[in-house]
Amino acid sequence: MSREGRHRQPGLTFYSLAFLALVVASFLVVAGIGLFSVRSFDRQLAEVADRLARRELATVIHSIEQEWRRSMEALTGWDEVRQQIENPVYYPYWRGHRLREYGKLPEDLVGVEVYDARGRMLATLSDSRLPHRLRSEMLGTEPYLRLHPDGLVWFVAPVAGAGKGILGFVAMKLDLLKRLRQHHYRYLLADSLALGALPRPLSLSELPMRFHFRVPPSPELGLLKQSMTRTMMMVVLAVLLLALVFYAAALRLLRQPLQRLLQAVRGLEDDPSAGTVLDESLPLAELDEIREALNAYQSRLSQVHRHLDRKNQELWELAYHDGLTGSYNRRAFDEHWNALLDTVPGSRMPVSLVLFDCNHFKAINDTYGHQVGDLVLQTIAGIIQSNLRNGDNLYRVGGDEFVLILLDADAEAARRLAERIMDAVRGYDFSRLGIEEPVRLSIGIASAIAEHAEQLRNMYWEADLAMYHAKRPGFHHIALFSEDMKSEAGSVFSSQTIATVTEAIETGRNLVMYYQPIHSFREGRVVYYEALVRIHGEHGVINPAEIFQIVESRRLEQDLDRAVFRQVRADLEQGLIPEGTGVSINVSGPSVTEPALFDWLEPMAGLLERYRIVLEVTETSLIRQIYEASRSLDRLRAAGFKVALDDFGSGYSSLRYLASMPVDVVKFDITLVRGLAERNRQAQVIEGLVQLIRAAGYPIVAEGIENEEMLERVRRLGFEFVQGFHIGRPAPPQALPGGARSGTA
Amino acid sequence: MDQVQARCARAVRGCFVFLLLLLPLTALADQPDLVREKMPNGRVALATWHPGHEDKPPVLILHGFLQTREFPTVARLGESLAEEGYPVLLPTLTLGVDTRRKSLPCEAVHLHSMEQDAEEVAYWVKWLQRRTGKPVTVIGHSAGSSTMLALSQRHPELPVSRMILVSLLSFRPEEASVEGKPVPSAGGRLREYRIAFCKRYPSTPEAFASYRAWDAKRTLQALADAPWPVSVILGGADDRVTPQWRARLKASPAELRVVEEAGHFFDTQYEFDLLDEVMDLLGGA
Repeated sequence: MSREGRHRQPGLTFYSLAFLALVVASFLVVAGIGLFSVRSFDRQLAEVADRLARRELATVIHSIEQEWRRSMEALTGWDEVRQQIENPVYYPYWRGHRLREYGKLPEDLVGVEVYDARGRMLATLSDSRLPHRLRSEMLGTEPYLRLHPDGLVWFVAPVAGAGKGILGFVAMKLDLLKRLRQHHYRYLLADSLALGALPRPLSLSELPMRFHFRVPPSPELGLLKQSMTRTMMMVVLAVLLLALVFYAAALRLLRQPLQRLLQAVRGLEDDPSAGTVLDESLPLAELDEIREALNAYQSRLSQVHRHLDRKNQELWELAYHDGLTGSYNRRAFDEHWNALLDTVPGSRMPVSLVLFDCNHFKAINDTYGHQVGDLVLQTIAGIIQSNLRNGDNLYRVGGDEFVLILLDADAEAARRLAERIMDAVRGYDFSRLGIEEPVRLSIGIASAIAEHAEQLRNMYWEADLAMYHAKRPGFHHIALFSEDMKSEAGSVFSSQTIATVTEAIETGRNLVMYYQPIHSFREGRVVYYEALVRIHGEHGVINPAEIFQIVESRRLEQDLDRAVFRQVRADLEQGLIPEGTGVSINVSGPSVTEPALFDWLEPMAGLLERYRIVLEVTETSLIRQIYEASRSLDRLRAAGFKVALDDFGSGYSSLRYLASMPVDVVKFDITLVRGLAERNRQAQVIEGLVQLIRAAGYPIVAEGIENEEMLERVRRLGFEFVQGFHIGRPAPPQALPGGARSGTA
Repeated sequence: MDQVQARCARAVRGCFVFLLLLLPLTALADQPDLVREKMPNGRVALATWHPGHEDKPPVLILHGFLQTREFPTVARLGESLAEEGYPVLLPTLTLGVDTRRKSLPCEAVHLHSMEQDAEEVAYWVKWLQRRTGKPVTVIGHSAGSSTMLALSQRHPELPVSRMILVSLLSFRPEEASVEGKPVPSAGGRLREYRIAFCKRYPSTPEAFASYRAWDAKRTLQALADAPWPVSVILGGADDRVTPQWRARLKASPAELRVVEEAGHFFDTQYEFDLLDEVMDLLGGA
């Protein structure tokens, strides 16, 4: 994943800023707690101040009350008051002169009057601030002292008579609030004193809690707040300074070194083999240890890298080179050729494909042994490579088949090169290898202009066709493909046919299987059917020979095999094949050596309980890569599949190979079966061969049984299975009998 | 020479008495009682009562104009006599005020009259006579002396053995405005007068007239008509006593004694002189 596409994690700057934010947040929390504490302290102080103020207020009220009581006591004890009560005739005069001039009246007096024992004013006075009659609750033996809702204090005290009774009352109205506001307080502001509405007359002792007032600002608290604010500001500055120092240190000691490390590590992308990440030391010991560890790691990584490069090179060499000749192998050819098909179309560059085949190489192998055969191949490859231009590559695509891809070389250039090589091979003294007879090559050449992709895709087949032309006895061993060769081969396929075949392989459309019965003499019935591929074309079923030519020319063998596997499996699963029988499926050479063959066939393993499934492989495909083929087939045999060696006797059949081949059944080629019909030496050899193979334990299938005479012949010779038109023609699955039946000759 | 010897003798006695006062004499004297009595006019009056010894003649001492029994001149005289064993009664005129304890200011409304005062004194004389069973010596100071004279005129039947009038004065006509100054707010009846030491004396014409009537002429007449033996003691330095008044008193039937250099109130050392004179008179009763 690229750095741009990768989710970016928060960096050091983020964490530093987050740390700063955390520090600031923590400080704010602490400051908040501090402020809260100050406010709480402030409230407590305010409560204390309020208590003190109310206590002071209570003290002042009490003092005033005492003063009033003294004044009232003096007044009620005044002889003239008693005189007026007893004879109130001149009370208005007395009140206006004597009482007003009485020096012991309270200074905050609003009004004062004298009442008789029943609470009536001694005279009706219009200018009086007091009522003419006192309320009954005021007329007691104890003084009545209450603050009334009108905001004034009513003070009514009895005047004792000569006896024990009450002679009368003296009533005062006093402005307490005015008096309180004139007082100088320590704990409250006199001007701020106020009294809310009173629901009822209150005694003076109740008043302190009824007053509203403000307390003077506390200088101590002000100093405390100022001190705390100053301290907090200093702490803020200190925290900010520390945070900045921390941030700068983080940048200097962490971020910059880390960025240098990061740049150095990124630089490794351009030069991964660099021995060290960063040579300069870093300011922090831990970072420097990381740097040294990275350097050590990079050093080891570099060594591993070089080692891997070497191993990769070796693997690549092994994967793409032929171990015997040193030339590229079949895999390399496929990749290079496919890459060429993808890149060169569109240009006017001529491209030539030269296909080499060693004549009678199998005979050489059989005659002189493998080692000599290998030496022959090495010699031929060396001769070819020595004649190539720089950049031209030689591929070994088969046992004795080599291919050259010549870019920017037309047919004539390719032909000249082929002739040079041919001359070189002719001129080589193969007797040095112990070979007496001459070694010759057959060379097929196909050329095309790169802009025609279709031509390019056909070139291998064309070169192959040309090479087989070259192999014909009596012909020149170098053949340049021509359209005539197509005609001769009857292999002129319309693009429609090719499209039908490739589509059938890719999608399964129009691809059907025909099944030809194989009869068992021992069991006396058809024991299985050979699956034969058929593709329905525009004009009916396409000739199987054409199908295989198209497939081989396009290297679609494996794809065709897999399409056949899928179709046979579908027929089996649908029960189109009679139970108790089985099918045999032809497997191409490329598929036999394909490691994935087991995976392709594994889905059919579940059908082995109901059906016998035989894989038919040709001896050619087996012999070419016997090791890989054996490993693949052994695994399939272990899973329950049977393997039949198909077309035995059609090529250079070798009994030595047969003994080591992983096969269960040997299927004689039709040419051998037909040879049995002759009464000559060949027939005798074949009969001996049959006996020999039977003795080795291999059941043998005779194909091509077309009449009763041949049937009888093979039965007498000991063939176990027979196949041919006489037994049954290939038929679609729908035409097969519903169950196993006895086949008759 | 006789005067010098007398002064020396008085000084020695004064010092002696002074030293005696320094002693805890309270243990020697009877504790006074506070007497509360309802007067004929309905007012309740207070008096200080020193029971004294039975063998001593009872003495009633009356304070001056608007004063109380606690006025120093009468209070000290009463205490001194009580210390001497005399039964002493010191009443306070009510002046229309129940249980009056303090002097009545001039500016107070004065509805009391000389007649009422004399009736209250008469009540107390009777009370004292009942308590002691003996005739009473009445002593008046200043205007109290005028009240005693009024008493003698209104109740000559009372058991009074002697009347001692200290600093006897008369209400001077030039000091008193007979008409008075009307007081509008007092409903027309009350007027402000000048009498004795009072420059503003609110009172009714009748009440005022009861005092104003005791001018020099009536006083001297009362002295002449007194039913009991009368002695007058004047201070030689009493600035309220004019030479003419002293001469007229001397010319009256009453015995006149003058304490030289003593003022109207016989304060400081002259109280002893007053005591001496009184005791001397009591001894002669």
